[in-house]
Amino acid sequence: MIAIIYQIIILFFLVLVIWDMFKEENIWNQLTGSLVIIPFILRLLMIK
Amino acid sequence: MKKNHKIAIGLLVFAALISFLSGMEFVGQWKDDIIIPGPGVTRTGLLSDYFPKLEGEYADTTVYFLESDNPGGTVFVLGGTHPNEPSAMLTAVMLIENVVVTQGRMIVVPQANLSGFSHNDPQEGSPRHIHFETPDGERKFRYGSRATNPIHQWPDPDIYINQFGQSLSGSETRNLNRGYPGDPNGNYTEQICFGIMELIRQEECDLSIDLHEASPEYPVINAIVAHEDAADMASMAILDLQIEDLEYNLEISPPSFRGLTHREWGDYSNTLAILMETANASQGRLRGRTDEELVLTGKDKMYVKAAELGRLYVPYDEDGHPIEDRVGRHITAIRALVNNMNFIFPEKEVQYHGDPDYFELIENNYGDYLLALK
Repeated sequence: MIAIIYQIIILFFLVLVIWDMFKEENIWNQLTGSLVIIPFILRLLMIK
Repeated sequence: MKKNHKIAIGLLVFAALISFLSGMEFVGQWKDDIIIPGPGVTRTGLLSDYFPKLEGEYADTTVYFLESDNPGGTVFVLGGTHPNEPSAMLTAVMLIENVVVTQGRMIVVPQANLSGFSHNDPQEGSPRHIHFETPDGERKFRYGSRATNPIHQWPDPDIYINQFGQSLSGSETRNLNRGYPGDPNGNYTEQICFGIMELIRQEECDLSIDLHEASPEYPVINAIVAHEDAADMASMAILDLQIEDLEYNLEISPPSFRGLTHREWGDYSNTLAILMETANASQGRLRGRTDEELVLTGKDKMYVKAAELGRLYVPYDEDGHPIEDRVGRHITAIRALVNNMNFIFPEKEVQYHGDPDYFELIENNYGDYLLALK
């Protein structure tokens, strides 16, 4: 159960970061966002 | 479409590609190692045969039986408690692929914490696999993590309070050698411990040996750690090993250091419990570049320097401690322990052949003793 809650939290932050990447005008901040989501994706899929 | 939206989509594709490539690499480590049953293996089973709750779980590791027609004792050898200590698993594989038991029987589990083999430790720079040239081609085995994979057991508590009420660091909750005697309703790692404990009890193992490696700067190294019930046998084995110029320290299992094999196997079953350590630079804190060569040769100039400064508990020079030396020590010490069990308890005699001795092994390559892939 706790793992599912954890994955929901990850999904929430993943969506927030992606949303921010589309709102962001500064390319470096967009690049930072793209790096942040990589571990989120791997964790959401329980690969790592 | 706005320019920043196009960039965002491009960067998302980039992130997805990186996630895919790295994910494929991580998933690649989930694939089982190939261990070939040798001429002495009479059957195989699973850990879930002893604790059905593990059935279908990743951790449901294979149990190899090497049995004879002649009655005698039962020797249990456990490798892979810590998958970043490769000589332990490789010693067990060598037994499985080479040994024939002629009296009594031997039970071998080469990958005790199978979950730990499915990943390795972040920020350690460890190789994912180690490779061996054999007369019939290349064989490879995984180099894993000290602990259970977090995708199988999560989260770690801030403090792990073991089954005896002792406080350990949180990550120790995934350390197989802190969770004995196990708990059928405990966490994933404690359930594996319980399964192994049940194997020892149900198979009535007379002698049980847990194989390990340690950092060269760790005091318990080149050592046999014995439960007090096994102290006589272990001390006699060490004398035999010293006659063969193999230096070993005898450590008696501390009664208050709970959760470890050398303590709980002996306390919670009738087996003679033993743990053994060799020197592995690739898990040490003083090491330099960490790669497959370090795992297999143990050659590391930082450890040579540390030895010169008197900071190590084993001799260390430019020759390192190759895998043949470390497996050879384990193989020879197992032989010495079994010989002395036979001497003390003749009704539990176990006889076997096919294992190389230390000096033969260091003259050859480990891969020379691996069977051909079919």
